[in-house]
Amino acid sequence: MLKIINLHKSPLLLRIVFVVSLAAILFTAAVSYKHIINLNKSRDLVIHSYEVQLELERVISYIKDGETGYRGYLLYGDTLFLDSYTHSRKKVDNAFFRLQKITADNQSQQKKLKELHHLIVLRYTYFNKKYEDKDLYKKYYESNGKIVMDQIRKKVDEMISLENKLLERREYHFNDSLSYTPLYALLVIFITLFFIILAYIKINSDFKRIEQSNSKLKVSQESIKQAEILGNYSSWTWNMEKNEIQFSDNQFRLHGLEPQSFEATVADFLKFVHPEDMEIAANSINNVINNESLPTINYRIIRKDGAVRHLRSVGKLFINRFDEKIIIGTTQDVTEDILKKIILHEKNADLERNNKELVEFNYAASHDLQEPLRKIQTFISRINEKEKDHLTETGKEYLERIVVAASRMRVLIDDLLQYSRTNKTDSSFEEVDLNDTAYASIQELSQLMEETNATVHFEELPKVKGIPFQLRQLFINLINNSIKYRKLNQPPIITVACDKVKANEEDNIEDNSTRMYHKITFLDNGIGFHPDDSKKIFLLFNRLHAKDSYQGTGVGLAICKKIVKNHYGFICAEGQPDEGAKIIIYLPTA
Amino acid sequence: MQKNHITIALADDDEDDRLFFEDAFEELKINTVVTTHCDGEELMNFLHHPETILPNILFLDLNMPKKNGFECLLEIKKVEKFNDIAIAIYSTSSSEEDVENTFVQGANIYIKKPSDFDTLKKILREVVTLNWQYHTSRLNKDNFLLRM
Amino acid sequence: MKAYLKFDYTILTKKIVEEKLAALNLKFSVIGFGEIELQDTISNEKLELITTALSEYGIEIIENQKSILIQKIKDTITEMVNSEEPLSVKSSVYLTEKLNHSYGYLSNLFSEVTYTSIENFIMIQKIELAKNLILNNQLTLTEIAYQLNYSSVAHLSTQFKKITGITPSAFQRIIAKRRVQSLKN
Repeated sequence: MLKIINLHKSPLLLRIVFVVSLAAILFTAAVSYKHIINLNKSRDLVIHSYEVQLELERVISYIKDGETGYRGYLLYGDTLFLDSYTHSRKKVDNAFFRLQKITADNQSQQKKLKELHHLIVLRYTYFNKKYEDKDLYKKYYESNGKIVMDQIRKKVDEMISLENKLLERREYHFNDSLSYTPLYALLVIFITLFFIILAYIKINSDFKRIEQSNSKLKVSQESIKQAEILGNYSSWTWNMEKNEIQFSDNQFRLHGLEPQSFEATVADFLKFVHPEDMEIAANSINNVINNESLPTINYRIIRKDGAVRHLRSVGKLFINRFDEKIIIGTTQDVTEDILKKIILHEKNADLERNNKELVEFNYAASHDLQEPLRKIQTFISRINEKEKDHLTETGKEYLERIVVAASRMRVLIDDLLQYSRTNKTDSSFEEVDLNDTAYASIQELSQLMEETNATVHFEELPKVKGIPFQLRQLFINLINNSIKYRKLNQPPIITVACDKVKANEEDNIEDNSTRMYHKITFLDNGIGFHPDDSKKIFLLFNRLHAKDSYQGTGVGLAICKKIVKNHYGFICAEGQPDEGAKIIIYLPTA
Repeated sequence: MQKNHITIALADDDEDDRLFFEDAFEELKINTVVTTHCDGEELMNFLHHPETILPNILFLDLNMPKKNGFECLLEIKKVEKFNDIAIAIYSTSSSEEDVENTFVQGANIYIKKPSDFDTLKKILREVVTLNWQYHTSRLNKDNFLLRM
Repeated sequence: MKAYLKFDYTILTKKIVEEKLAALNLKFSVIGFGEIELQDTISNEKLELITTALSEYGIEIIENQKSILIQKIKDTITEMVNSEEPLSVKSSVYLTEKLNHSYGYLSNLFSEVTYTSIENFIMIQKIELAKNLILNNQLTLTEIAYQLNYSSVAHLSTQFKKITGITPSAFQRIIAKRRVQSLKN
């Protein structure tokens, strides 16, 4: 069925229609020709018949003329009348001669003609006899003459009727074929006309379509050319059967030359390839020849002006309508991309190196600063112990202040050190049961909790992948924070709840995927904070309260943030002044 | 077996720290004999020396040239005759992981060097006393873990 | 294959003393913990023999009164702490009763000789027991806290950390890692 449907689109139909029409036309021509011939024949026959009739009538007429003449002679004895009689004889002979010719094709007519001739001769014999004996003629030959005349007449009539019959028969015969031939021819003409109109319509529409396609194609080609120039790529085809290569115009431009400026062959192309990449190029060409495919390859070319460009080529095998294998390929100038990549790579390496240096510096600084500070503090304490009595009041006071400043510095360095330690994550991830973590962190803070009458409630916590020490530090810092910032007359109560959430359903975190996270919420009943500060509290060294009212350098939460980040999670805070604080941490599910 | 005094050894490359250490013990008035060493190699030579009286407690600084405290710890733990020595790591601040690691590798005590002389004295007194308890009351030395 | 052993030092020492004295053909009777009475008086040489034999096992003959009493105090405390039943009276009362001296006297003597207070010693003993119990892995921290007369796990943790400087769970962790380490070696 499909074949038939497709048939109306194929050029085969046109050919069929053409052939059929041609055949029909020829047929019609033949038929018409035959028809015309027949008509002519018919006409000829009719004329022929009438000719015969005419001649026969003439014969009779002539004979009658003769008779009349003779009678006249008989009557008047004038030889003038004999002239017409002799004339008539001649005419009769002529007519007869013609008749013989005309009826040459008809044997029965010829026979009759002979008989007629015989009769006519007889008649004229009578006439001649009349010459000699007038009175005898009158009695004998006239009556015989009349009989012969009648016989002649009868014979003529016979001949005429025979001719007529012949005509009738022929006419009937021709009428038969003539009657349907025109109808038939007309029908065929109409059918042919129909097909021709159909073909015309199809040709017309096909032509229109081709015109449209052509103009579209032209536009396409033009835009491809433009696209190639703009996109810095080119296309090429390699006919494997004929070993012909065709380059698009831009291929030449990629090589820094004018279009079609060198011949499209493998050898010419290889001239441009960078010596170091020759092997790659040669291999890929072999690949094309042997495996009939070209997977993406990168190589360099050196243009005539010496510029080195990076190109990327890829090709695919197609079979064209002549069943030839053609590789259709694209080449793109990716120099900019590659250069950018190299630069990016270098910059990245730089950044990483920088970062590493900074982290190491941070750690080294904090670590190395401890020693001299400790010495200062220890020696001061020695002085305080041993030499206090030798100091003036001012001296003692100054010493006191040094002690305070030094302890402050100690706290700072300790905190910095702790922070920088969180940065160095060369520990590997293990499976950590957060319930154990919670338990351990409470134990670490047990003394503080006892002193402040604090209670901590944990829901069932999940297992996560992480660094046990850091996670413990995280919990300790958070609970310690809640205890530190408790309300004066209220024992701190901290609850830790856990939930499983999907990343894109939480506004708090920047992950928009469907990854699952554990959402662990630390809620306390402490002094809280202003919502505007919710991001600030995680900043390094940021404190919301005066130095003296709450001890601390503000590094605790910054460490928490770093730890959470190390674990690929998120942290945020919610709170209201005097209404407690809520710290929420998100850790990816294992 | 010396009964009445306690033998202490310290390995620390810092001169001031060695000074503090010796002074502290002097002021503590416990019957102690203190030897100090300035690096790990010297310490190990001292310990392996046949005439050396092995200390009851050995204080090891972690950051030392030639052989650091950790290396010394590992070495000492391999030698059976050193089994009775209580090893105290005496160091500036280390990370939680590093502290725990020294315990795991066999240290009995970890002391973060204090920044106050009185505290130092208190700590040393505590260490010595506790160690003496272990020694006299036959407590399980393996469980002797102390962090100050 | 691992095997965990629990030592009963009382039985241990008693057995050794009995064996050693019997080997030396000495008649004796065991009166209390750490106290034996020899039937006859013995010469210095015999005394030296006994001392040598026993010293192998770390058993010493205490000479002076003070030391004897100190040892008694220690032993009583050890016994008190290690008993499976929780204490019905205060430790001070217990000691006074058991040793027939005022608590003040005992306390002073103890501090003078050992440089530690009785309370501290009791705590050390408790924590020591806690350590052993933790290592046995049979009881939870709550149960251990109860057995040792602590009001809660938090209380035990606080005490533990005060004495040792580390939390019970950290202790557990370290010992476990040590065991893993020794298996590797």
